Amino acid sequence: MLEIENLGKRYGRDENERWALKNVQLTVEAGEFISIIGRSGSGKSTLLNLIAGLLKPTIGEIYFQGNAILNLNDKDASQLRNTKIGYVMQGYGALDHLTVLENLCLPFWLFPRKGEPRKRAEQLLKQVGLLEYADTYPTKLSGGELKRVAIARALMNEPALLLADEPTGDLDESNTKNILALFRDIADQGTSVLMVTHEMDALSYGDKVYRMEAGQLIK
Amino acid sequence: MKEHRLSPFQLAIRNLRRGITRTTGLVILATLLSAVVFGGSILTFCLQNGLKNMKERLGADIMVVPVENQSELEAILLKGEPSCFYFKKSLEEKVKNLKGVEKCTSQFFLTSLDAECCDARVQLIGFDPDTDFSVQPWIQKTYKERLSDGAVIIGSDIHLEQGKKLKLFDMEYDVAAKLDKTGTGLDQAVYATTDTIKKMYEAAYAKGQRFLEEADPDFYVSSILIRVEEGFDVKELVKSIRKELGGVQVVESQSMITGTAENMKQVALFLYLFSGLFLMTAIIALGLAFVLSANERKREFAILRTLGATRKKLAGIILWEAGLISLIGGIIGIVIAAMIVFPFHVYLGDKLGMPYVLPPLAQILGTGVVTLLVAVMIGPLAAVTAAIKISHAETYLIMREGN
Repeated sequence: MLEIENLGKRYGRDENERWALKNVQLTVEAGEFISIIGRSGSGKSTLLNLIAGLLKPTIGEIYFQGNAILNLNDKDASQLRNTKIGYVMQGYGALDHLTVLENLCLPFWLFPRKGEPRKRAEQLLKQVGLLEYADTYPTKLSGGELKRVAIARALMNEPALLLADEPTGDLDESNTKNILALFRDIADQGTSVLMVTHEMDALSYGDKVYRMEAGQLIK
Repeated sequence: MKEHRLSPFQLAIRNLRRGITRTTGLVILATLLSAVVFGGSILTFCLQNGLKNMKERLGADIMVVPVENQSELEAILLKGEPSCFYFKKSLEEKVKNLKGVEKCTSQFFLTSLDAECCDARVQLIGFDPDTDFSVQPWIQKTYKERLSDGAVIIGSDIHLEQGKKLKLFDMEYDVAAKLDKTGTGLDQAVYATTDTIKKMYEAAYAKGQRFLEEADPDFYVSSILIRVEEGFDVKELVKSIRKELGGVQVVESQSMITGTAENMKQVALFLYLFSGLFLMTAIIALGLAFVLSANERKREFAILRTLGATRKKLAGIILWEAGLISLIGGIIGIVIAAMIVFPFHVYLGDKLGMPYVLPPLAQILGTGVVTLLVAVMIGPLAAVTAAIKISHAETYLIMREGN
């Protein structure tokens, strides 16, 4: 489903040169839940952003469902992210001026397509236990609730691949467990999950665990 | 829950409502810009229209008035300040015989008493229907018949209607017609034949208005109007008149119009400069405001990007918002400027002391449309820098900044 070959990302040049990622090789099968652990600044988020097409690598190639995706233009890369990839960013990525339901429907409005997003949004809100907050604005929600909103929104497009950047970072133990269990369910239903985290507890939920050290991915 | 979708336009509306203080500030700026552009343009058109009317109305190439009375004549023509001055009618005969004179006629001026017939004193102008070439051509645009004795024609600023009676020196005169507005002082004048004006003079005299004592219309006139033969040098004729008559002021219509046009040019130049400076200031201020706003909203744009918004779409959101702000400000600005310029146009005309008349409705509407287009374009133009900046920002770096 996802193949990464010899991926590298360099910042700066000459004496200031620094490789955030170096020679990364990774294969993710459909329905596989992969966890990547590592210290801050080790290159975990850079890897997710490269896969999402939000950053261009210095070297290497990424194949998504058999197609090389690094040379896609902005529109095609954006459409791929919008329709086939779910991205849970660090922090709470909800837009405060839209209701919870509108936040979930946002991907559908950015690339209008057939289908009714409301039903899907309601179904996902029910799944993450937030249906009663559908018409609430995000400023009224707690950190754990906001994180669940972000996860539900990332699942709106029924993605083939879910990228999650520290999804349990600011959450308490109970919320952390709920979210990891949710990711496990998602993977079991066929969506590949690639999660970067600090949480050692999270590792037990995944199928494979990788460690990121100084930009290199170690199994 | 309501069934709905949010278009980029509706998203922009939501964003504007969210930052209501910022939005209000930007709308005020756009309002001022549009008010200045629209108000300035309409004022300029009013002045241009007034000058055009004045040119048409003067009719004569040369006007002769008593020495030292040129300023009074200009006050009558430009500001509608009533005035009386006289010299002997015999001078008219001398002028008629000069070389280069194609047509020659005279006028006799009276003034009404304060608030006798109208809101204020008005200028009464008597003309000779047999020789007149200055007044009758444009009177006939409104009133086709020959003006009978005892009838008057009134300027547009006199608050009486056709068919009513005008009371002057205790006598009543039929209002035969009301002229269209010219924007000149002549809008506050009453026109009558010399026979009618003689009756007015006699009534005034009987009423004890001794200021007219030495000016019997049979022997005196206020101004002599001359049309120069085609091809004849106007300045040559002016010289001849000065040489032949002496003790009179010879006024070239063209020089009076040129003087007014020069004043008007300066007013228009000021208006254009002011509008231009304001336009530039507004673009810079709006541009800065949009850049600051875009910086504050980096994280919001990063979220949209992760959800699949293209760079073009991000720029579109900013440009939509800028366009909406400009549109709202543009409309409010035009309405405010219209509420100042139109109800107070008589006052503004008086204050400027220049021929001043509203342009036709089509031109006003056209100016409104152009102003709105300019205003609507200014917002997105000012927001281009912000749009480029945000659409080229690295999402990954913004997210890291946010964390």
